Amino acid sequence: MRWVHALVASALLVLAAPAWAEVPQSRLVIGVPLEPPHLDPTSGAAAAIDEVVYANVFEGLTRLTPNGTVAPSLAESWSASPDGLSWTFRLKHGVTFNDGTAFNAETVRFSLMRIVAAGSTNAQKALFAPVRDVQVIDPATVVIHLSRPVANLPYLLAWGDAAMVSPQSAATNGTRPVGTGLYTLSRWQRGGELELVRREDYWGRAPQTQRLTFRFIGDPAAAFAAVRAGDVDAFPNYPAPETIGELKRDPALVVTQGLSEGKVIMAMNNARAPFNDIRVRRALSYAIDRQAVIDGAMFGFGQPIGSHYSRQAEGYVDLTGRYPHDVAKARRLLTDAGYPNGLDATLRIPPRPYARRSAEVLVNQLAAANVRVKVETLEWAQWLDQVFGRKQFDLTIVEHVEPMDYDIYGRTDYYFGYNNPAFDALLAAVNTAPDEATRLSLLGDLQRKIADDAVNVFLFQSARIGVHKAGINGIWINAPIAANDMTGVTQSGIARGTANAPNTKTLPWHWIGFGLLAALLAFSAHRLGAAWTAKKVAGHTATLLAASVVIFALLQVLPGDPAAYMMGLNASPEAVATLRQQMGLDGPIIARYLSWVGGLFSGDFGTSYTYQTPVAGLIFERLSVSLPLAISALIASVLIALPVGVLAARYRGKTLDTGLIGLMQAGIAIPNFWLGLLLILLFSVGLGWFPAGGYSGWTSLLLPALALAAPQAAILARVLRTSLLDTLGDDYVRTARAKGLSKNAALIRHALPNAWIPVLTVLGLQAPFLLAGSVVIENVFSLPGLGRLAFQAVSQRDLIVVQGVVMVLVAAVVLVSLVIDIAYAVADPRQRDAALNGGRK
Amino acid sequence: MTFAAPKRMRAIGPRSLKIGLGLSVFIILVTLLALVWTPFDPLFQNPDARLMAPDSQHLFGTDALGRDVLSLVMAGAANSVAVAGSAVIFGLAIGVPLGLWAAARSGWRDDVVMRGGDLVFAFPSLLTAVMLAAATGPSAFNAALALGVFNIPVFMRVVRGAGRGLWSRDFVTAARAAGQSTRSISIRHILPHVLGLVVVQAAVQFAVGVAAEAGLSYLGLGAQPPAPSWGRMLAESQTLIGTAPWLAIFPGLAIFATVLALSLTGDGLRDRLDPRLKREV
Repeated sequence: MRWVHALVASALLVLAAPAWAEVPQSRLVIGVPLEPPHLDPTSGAAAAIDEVVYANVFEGLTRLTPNGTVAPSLAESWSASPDGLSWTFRLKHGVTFNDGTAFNAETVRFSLMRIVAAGSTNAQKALFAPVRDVQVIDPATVVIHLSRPVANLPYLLAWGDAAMVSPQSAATNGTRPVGTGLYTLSRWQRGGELELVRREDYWGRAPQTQRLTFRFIGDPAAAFAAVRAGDVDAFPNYPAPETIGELKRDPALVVTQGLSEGKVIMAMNNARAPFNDIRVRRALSYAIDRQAVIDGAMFGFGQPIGSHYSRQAEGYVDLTGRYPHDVAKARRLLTDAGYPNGLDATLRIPPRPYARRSAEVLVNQLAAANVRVKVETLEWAQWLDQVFGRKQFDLTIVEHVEPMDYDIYGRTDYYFGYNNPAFDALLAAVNTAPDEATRLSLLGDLQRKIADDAVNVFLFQSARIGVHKAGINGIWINAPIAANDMTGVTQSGIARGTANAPNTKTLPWHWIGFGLLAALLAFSAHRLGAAWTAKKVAGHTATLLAASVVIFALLQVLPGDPAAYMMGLNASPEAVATLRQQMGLDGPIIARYLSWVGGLFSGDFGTSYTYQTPVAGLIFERLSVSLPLAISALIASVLIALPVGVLAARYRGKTLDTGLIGLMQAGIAIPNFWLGLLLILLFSVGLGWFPAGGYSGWTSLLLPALALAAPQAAILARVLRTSLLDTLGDDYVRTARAKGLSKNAALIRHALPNAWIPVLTVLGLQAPFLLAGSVVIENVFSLPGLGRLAFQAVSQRDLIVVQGVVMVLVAAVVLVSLVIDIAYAVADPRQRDAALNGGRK
Repeated sequence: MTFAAPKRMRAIGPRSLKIGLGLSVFIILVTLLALVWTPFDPLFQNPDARLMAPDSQHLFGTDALGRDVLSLVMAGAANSVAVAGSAVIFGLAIGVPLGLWAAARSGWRDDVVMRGGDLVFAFPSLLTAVMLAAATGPSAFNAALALGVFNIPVFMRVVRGAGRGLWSRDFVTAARAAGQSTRSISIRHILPHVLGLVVVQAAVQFAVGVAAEAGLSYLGLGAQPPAPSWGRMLAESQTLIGTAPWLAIFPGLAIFATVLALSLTGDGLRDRLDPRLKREV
């Protein structure tokens, strides 16, 4: 019973912890759908990083305004030479980085030359390739020399990829970003949220908001819940269009709909039959009803496009009428191309809601034109590897989020395999256009060429749906670049209610853990003998080692490249290769295994590929959610099982017993995540008592703990009932009864204490699985727990994190079985002797 | 029976077997029916009938693409049954022979096999299944494989545990004296004796498999769209739970009913088979 006391005490301790959170003034909580892997905008997949750091932490020479025009930032003014080959930029004075270093012409030279240097992992390396040299004229003037004219250089310099970085800190910007912007990083809880705090020494106008908290909520259901509950102040890129109708009815919220740069296309493999035939590609373009796709897949949010070009971009021409929905024409074209009976194709899509829902609509539309499509959802890493990298696909659906990315149609080895010298010539002409008018008209020709060749089926441009609380002004409605520039945001009359910054105080858990383990072993050696203890420990250690080999081997055969995942859609193969090398992914397998296991012994779980922080830290962070969840579920299951089991045993055979048995059966059969959904429906949607998802203190653990506990409680109650009935039949209870003890007294005083043993065993065996088994529940409630960490890490190919998490869970299972072995041996010395004699039960 | 002598009482009444079997038969009939007939084509999208609440035409309502939920739930049964069933067959095909072998060969060979089983049990099953399914690419087949791996040691233990004691029984000694090989004794004498237990365990693992498949599908790691799947329907229902709660209720009920049917059947069979075994539950 002392176990139970200890459990309750530690649970209370953990649950009480978040209550200490302080309430900061003028804080803005911003929901963002994707967590950036790191914070260096000049390296790797830019969109998620820019959503946090663009303009807020890092600034470039120029910047984009909310309507997409280029404005001065660190450069005051600029001019180009008549031949377009040299650009002179005048820099602002008195600018410093947040570590105090000065920004000047040398910094500009360093930052720009770093992009094009050999070994650069900048995702937009190709765009800046024409930069030949950066000449420092004086501390406030630079001249950028180009190898060929780039008419939109000021626009390109506004991208996050061209942010200004300081030579001293460039290498560590991923985890400790040092920029010239208004905010600096103060805290980052991986998988949860990230906080930026205002710089007091900023060189320009200070912003109104002191703290910006970016909370990562990718799951549409959780985003909806967070907005409804007021947990976020603004969600500028809101991922759940299906819930907009409901949100619009709330007067405290403002819903905006702007344009994004996201172009959703159904890409066709132009290099592979039958899609190398323009008639087939055109047939598919005619077969699609774009508005129906937008209505069905995006709930009406989005606008049709006719080429790979966003509607708000300069030089846009409307080509949506080029392929009107015409099934008869589509069939005719297929017949002409030699497919009178239609054709079969595979549509391999990435695991994104827009892709999945679009696919479901497209399959039906294409079927009408005799194109029989089989859908395969790939994981993001697999999609990058197989579809994007190795071009193993017929059709795919993907959103291209980079602005003005028409140049991908000129790449020789790009995934959709389009190769047309006429287009390449057009692209070169655009790049060397002598004046703006010519350039714009050439851009029109370029769009028409892409549409005429029906390279891909252009579906729609995503709407950027934003939701924010009434009273907040200055949030970007359009997104000319994937960014959340918060520097111009003002709030009026908002009293921030509950601030739920998760508590960062933690006890030295690892030392406590080591201490407890040592105490346990000492106790075991004392009571059961050193030889027995050593044998047991050796056996369990062998299991652990075997498990480590299995885990490591399993993950080596995973398809998918972590480096490719990190670099995103637009990255050059060279940058990916460089990153692979930097991550140490090309060493021999045995050496990598040994160094991993060696590290484990010293508590070093390695460094996460995506987050670039120690894995051990990540696991501890997630344990602070998963452990309280598992413990509360354990306690709840005991609290439920106890009365149910006792009552059922007491009224054995009566109606109450039958009813309770029915309840137990139902409890065992109910899938815990469905129960979670039902609890959300009842308590969050219906009654509004609890948050429906996300982690904001211990109240968000109540519903998931209950959902997790119910099936366990049912099992425990059943074991308890059986065990009680068995004990009641034992002699000593019968004797007690014969001496006149009442039924109830016999049950509570004699049977219950002895019936605990099997219950505790079941409990002990279930405990570690509550930690791991909550992976689906954590997804239902969007909790940043251990299971979700592992799930995300698998899909991001962050192998070393997966290895670490699974290893920790296996260790928990092995540890519990060691504890059970010791407990049994203490309780029953015969078992110990049997074990010593080498016999297995 | 009196209060004082409940030692051999049944854990669950014999009614559970009847209810379980009845429900199982119903589910199997619906699954088979859905192969040839559903009220609507489950994949037919009607843009004019999106998110309709249950009424006389659509008993379970319609989803966001205007598909009939009743038809989708009916058609989704085949997927659940196929995945969980394949996982059980996979576990049986490997676990039973291994268990028989371990029971016949005591000593280090038995040790190795059982240690291997312990090793698999040390892995968090659902999380590892998630890992396997994600690694091999999401599909119904891979989900079945990932779940099946964890069924192997379950059957292995059941067969080995029950088979072990049989080797010292007279009929085995007699068969041995008659010159039968270890293998033939395992198949002809041991297997028939443990078959009942295996069937019970198969029903239980089937139930576990249906629930686990739903979990994997919920995470997007089961059957792929447009093939109907209960778990995925639940995942898609979540953002619409405020406006269209029927989307969350009916697929969940289907999972619940299937798991309940199978676990009641398993429990009932177990009691019927050997009341003494209930204590080991």
